[in-house]
Amino acid sequence: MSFWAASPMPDQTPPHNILKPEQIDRVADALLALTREVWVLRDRQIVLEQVLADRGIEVTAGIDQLQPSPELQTKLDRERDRLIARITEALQGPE
Amino acid sequence: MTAADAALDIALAQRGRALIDFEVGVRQAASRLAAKAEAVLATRGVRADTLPEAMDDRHALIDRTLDDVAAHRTRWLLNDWSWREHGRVAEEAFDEVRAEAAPKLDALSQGGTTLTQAEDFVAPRYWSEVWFHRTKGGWDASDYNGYVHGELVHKRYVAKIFPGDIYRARREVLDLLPARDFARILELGTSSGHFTAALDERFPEAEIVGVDLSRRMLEQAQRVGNARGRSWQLHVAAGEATGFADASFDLVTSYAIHHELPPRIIKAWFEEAFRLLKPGGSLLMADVPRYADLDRMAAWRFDWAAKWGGEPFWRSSAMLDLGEGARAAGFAEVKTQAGNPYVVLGRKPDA
Repeated sequence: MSFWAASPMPDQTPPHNILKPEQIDRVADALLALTREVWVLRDRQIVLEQVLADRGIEVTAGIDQLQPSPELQTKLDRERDRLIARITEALQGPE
Repeated sequence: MTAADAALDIALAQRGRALIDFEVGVRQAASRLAAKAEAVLATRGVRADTLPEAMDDRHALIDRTLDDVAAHRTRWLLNDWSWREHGRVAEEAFDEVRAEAAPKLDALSQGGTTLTQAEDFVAPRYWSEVWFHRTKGGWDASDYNGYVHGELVHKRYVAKIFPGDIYRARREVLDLLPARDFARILELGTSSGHFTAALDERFPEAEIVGVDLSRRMLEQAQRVGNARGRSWQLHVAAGEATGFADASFDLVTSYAIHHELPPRIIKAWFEEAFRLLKPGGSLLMADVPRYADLDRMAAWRFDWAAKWGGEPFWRSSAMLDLGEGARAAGFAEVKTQAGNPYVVLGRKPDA
């Protein structure tokens, strides 16, 4: 039988290069899009914590302890999927 | 949430939770792109009924046809990322809360569920030398891998990216068994205990014994058994060489494990199950769909994911008729049921 399991190795996947050279520019687009989104979030978090601290509310520990409600999880899922969609659209390039 | 589930539940911190959620989103995005790529295949005349019979030829034709399709390559990239990253981020999520989590998990090693390992046990190479699911270092690479994969990956990732209720499926498959109680049940390939829990719920009076090659996974199964207040007997051992006495079980069973075994070991499992069952005892083994039961495109989808997702034995296993394996070992009244899971049932003839 001819298939990839002929001899066990730690990682069984064959050597592979997924992206084509002409997609490299799209990777740069994706990285910039991702960096932009990360910055927006960092900026928002720093501003938010400062606003709350100015009002005497310490939230850093509370953020780690909070377990999302179903409603909040739905919102997080929606926002996360938007972020991933921006990256994947950039990787695919223009239609 | 049941008391047992609550005992095993560990609140992740924000970073770990968001990391795992992100991996779920990446996998779901990959699935949407896969549908887009398959639509392109259809417009180019590549359909289930036009694909070649040989699986390697199917891969080659589809790879050629989608060579210029960015959705296909992006989907591949996202899948490749998630296969490499899902276990890593779950480990990172656990490490973030390790100080609180580890004592809670360690306490669950105490109770009626026991875990033993023979001093001279040596794991077979088909298991010890493979990084199943592309888990870096293999199943037992880190100290709480049983919890990381059995709970975090299974419940927060796998359950969200596969269609249907993967836990209900483990319970529904037991409806296929003859309507009788089993005094002593052996589960081959217990892993972290998801199917063990289903067996325990269905047959609460039964003595349940489980074997697996992964000590880390069995440590998690032990926590599950103890969280439920049960007395399962778990052993680090190979399903093809359990060391138990002849004719000492009423049911030998397994769920979603054959696709991690080479064909010669699958054959040996049927022979071992036959040896271990009492006359009249039952066999039920469930695993991934058989390629012969699927159209050529559906079989290719499974094979593509297996090829790139760290499933080196999937194809050879999915091409086996397990009914033939059961009959060859001596089982009678052998029946198979197509689907996901695919199921084989049999009975050891009366003496």
